[in-house]
Amino acid sequence: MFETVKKYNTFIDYVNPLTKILLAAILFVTVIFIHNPNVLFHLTILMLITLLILSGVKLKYLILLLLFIFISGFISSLYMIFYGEGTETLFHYGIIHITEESFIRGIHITMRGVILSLFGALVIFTSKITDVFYALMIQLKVKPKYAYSFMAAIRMVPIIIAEYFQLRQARKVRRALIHKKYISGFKGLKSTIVTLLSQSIRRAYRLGIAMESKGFTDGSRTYFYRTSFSRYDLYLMLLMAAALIAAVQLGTVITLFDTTDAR
Amino acid sequence: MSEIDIQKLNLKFPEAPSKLFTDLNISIESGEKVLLLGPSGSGKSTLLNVMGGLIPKVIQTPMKVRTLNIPENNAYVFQDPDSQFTMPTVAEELAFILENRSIPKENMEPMMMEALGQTGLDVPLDLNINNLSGGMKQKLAITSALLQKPDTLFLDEPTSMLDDESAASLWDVIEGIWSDRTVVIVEHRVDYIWDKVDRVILMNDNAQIIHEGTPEDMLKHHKQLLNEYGVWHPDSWQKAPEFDPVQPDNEVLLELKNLRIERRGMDILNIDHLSIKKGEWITIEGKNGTGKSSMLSAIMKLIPSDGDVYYKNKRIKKTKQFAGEVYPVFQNPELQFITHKVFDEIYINMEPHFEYTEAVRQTEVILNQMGLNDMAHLHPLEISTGQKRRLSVATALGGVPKVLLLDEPTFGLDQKHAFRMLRMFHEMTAAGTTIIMITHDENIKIRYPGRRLIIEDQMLEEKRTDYV
Amino acid sequence: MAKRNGLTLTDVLITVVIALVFAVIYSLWDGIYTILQPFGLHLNELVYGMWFIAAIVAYLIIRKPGVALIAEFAAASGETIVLLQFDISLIMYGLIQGLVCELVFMFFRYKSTSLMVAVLAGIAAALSTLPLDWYYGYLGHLETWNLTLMFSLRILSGALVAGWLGHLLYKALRETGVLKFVGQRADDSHEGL
Ligand SMILES: Nc1ncnc2c1ncn2[C@@H]1O[C@H](COP(=O)(O)OP(=O)(O)OP(=O)(O)O)[C@@H](O)[C@H]1O
Ligand SMILES: Nc1ncnc2c1ncn2[C@@H]1O[C@H](COP(=O)(O)OP(=O)(O)OP(=O)(O)O)[C@@H](O)[C@H]1O
Ligand SMILES: [Mg+2]
Ligand SMILES: [Mg+2]
Repeated sequence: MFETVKKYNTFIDYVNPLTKILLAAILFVTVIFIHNPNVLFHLTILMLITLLILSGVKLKYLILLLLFIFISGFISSLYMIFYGEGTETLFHYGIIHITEESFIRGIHITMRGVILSLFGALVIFTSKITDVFYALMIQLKVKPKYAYSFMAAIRMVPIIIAEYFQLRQARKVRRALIHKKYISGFKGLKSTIVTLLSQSIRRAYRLGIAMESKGFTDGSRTYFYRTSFSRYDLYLMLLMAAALIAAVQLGTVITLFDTTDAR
Repeated sequence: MSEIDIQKLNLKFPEAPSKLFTDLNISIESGEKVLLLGPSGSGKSTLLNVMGGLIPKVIQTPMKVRTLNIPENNAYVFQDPDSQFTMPTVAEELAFILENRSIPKENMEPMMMEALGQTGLDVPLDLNINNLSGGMKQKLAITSALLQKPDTLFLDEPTSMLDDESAASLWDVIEGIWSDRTVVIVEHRVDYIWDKVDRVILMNDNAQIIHEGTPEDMLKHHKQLLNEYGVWHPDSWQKAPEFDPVQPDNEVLLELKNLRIERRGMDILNIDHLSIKKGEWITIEGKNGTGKSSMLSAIMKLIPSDGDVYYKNKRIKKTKQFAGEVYPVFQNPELQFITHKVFDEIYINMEPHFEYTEAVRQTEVILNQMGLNDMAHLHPLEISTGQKRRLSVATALGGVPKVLLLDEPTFGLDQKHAFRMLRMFHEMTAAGTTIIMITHDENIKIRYPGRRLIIEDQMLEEKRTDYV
Repeated sequence: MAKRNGLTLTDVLITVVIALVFAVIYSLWDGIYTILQPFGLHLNELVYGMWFIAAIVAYLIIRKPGVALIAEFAAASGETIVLLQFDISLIMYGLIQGLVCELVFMFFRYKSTSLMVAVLAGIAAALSTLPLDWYYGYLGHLETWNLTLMFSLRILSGALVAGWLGHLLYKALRETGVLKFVGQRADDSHEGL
């Protein structure tokens, strides 16, 4: 799917998608338990390096993505920076009250989000969506009806998006012939969503019938793609463990923040 | 030996007010090719689904039947390419069928290649299905049907989305693989297959089989019946309405200069110069995917394009400038509706022009004209395909725009309504409205328009018309 | 006639597609969420309910166990699918919210399609992830007024956007006639045959 943005493949492309998802989940829990902003800082740097080297994506796309990740990560923690508790006031204007504590806490929350996004981007660039569902069926014995429903529904997404834009265009031209109360505001929005949903349900219903008419059952089947666990899965796990340990160690050596606890 | 034998079939959809089938009998011989005809909503698709066992197994519907012998190994091809594929690429889609049959992975590719060879679909296995044209998608659907190793094929309007050439080529493919199979076809566009089937079965609005016979017999002795139920047959156009040509006005309404349209970064259509006069009737033709619908959107300034559009000598930069005066009816009728009642859909068009009672009266006139009286209280998305099509054309009728752009307005309509709509277009041109319509129908193109435009090799060209 | 219990392929497919439609709409509106964020006043919480509207609409349509959970999971992974951003925390949140909706519907034995049930599910889902947010976003260290604001806006959004709007969409969808085909049929009897 990423032929256009990818430059090379790395071992991560051969890691089973389930391993990546599991690692992402572990990472999620782990960052919640890290309260030392110094550790999180080093982990961010290490994840950044991992993404840059191992995703195999061309630099110019990565830079765009990184900008997005950092900015949206920062914005989503502004609530803490502006309104968090603290004593050392840095800035005070109206209801906004930035303190040193709340600022560090805000940055800490930003870094949590950024780490997860960086790893998420790595997963996306190195996995094929169909492989995820085949792995779920083969390794986790997820019932085919769930896996295939997802795959079939994903195929519909571009169609739904195209339909949304056509719907907007159709409204644009109809607007001139009728009173605008029918088309603008909440009423217009509602009828747009209802049309979109109704059409999609109809299509999904027809597709479900078509799939079963093609002999689909929820029972045993063979698989066109094989997914398995290999030494590459082990490599990635070791890499992540190493990054975590390194971050913890570095966090005590190179300290950017004065505090060891963002709370 | 009969392949399909159904006796005394009774079926009622859960929320329907009455039964669809009452004591229906049908039997089809092994190897027979049968064409099932009937007005929209007469139960053709439902019957097909019963014959293939989808009802009640997949579509849970209460039914009662005395005898039910239906084929084990069957396969379907449906109308809409976009709602019959599961997977993104050609190989994965075909593999889906083979996985269902538990074929070992090693054998899959050779089997796919063999089936693709049979249908003559020459595409790389890893090609994304979204990049196939409509005709190729339907060939892929037939290829996947073949992989099911069916004894019986059910085809539910397989060509209804295709241009003439793709449709003809699809039927060639189907003929090439049907020799030792039973085939049951539901189809509106019957010209290609009428002579090739063994039997034609006609159903009426009440889901009853009212007549069956060989194609010759049907045409020779029962043409009246076919016309009565509005179904298309090879001689339908003999009864087509004829109009005196309208002499268009000299005033130029719409002018396109050096219009260039791109889609996904590819140049799809160039129009050097085109000027359209008041009261003209113009058709636009071209194969699937040549950019007819895109042209319509570009004229309306709904998608970006290079070059200029002039309306009444004024350069148009935004849709707003001429929306209402120039009005498009899109290919997907569903997208045009905004209210939740068929009646309201037309009424809101009348509302700005008349006071209440007159608006209601005018609405009823149009409902009548379009044959939509009986469903005035229903939701626009609930009615049948043909009815939706008519309603979407009706959304243009309020202030009666100066230029009407119609994207396949007669598609999916039965004889009666198609002819009625053509008459309406004629009357509109006589009253000075310009009609520009996209159509795949040869029978319309040769009869009605004053000018024919055709898209070929990314260019819009004038096609000579030797009549008028 | 063999009645098929549990979720059929079509049920699952429709559920996932509904969720993805909301994911698409949500992505197209993603701007709103981002624009609302910078003031830190949690105005973005007002559209938060959009995250679990899918679970509620899908349940109202299909009315079978499991639908809400699948819908919520699909809506959460929808961002991965539509925007190609894999965000594990979204998926975790989605699972929790779906589970809670599921519990509410189970409490009503998957029978009721009333507005109240939809609103309850919306509120429950809104509340369900607060404990997680508490740890992840250090909510305990927010000034009290700001925290209260966030809680109230989220609950309001759960009730209004997810519950009330979800129910409104369900009623409008029913009018389009499409629900005749799907989900738990009101009546599967052979009456009239
Ligand atoms: N799953 C369903 N649930 C309820 N009603 C249905 C269902 N499928 C079809 N119907 C209704 O049954 C009737 C027959 O529909 P069917 O699709 O069989 O007609 P058709 O002859 O194939 O029409 P068309 O030419 O428009 O395809 C219609 O009134 C339709 O609304
Ligand atoms: N919304 C869109 N975005 C990008 N490309 C599109 C879009 N719609 C159509 N295209 C592409 O533009 C080309 C022209 O499509 P268009 O729908 O205009 O053709 P058409 O002549 O109307 O075909 P048909 O006879 O099937 O209706 C096709 O290659 C199509 O894939
Ligand atoms: Mg049909
Ligand atoms: Mg078109």
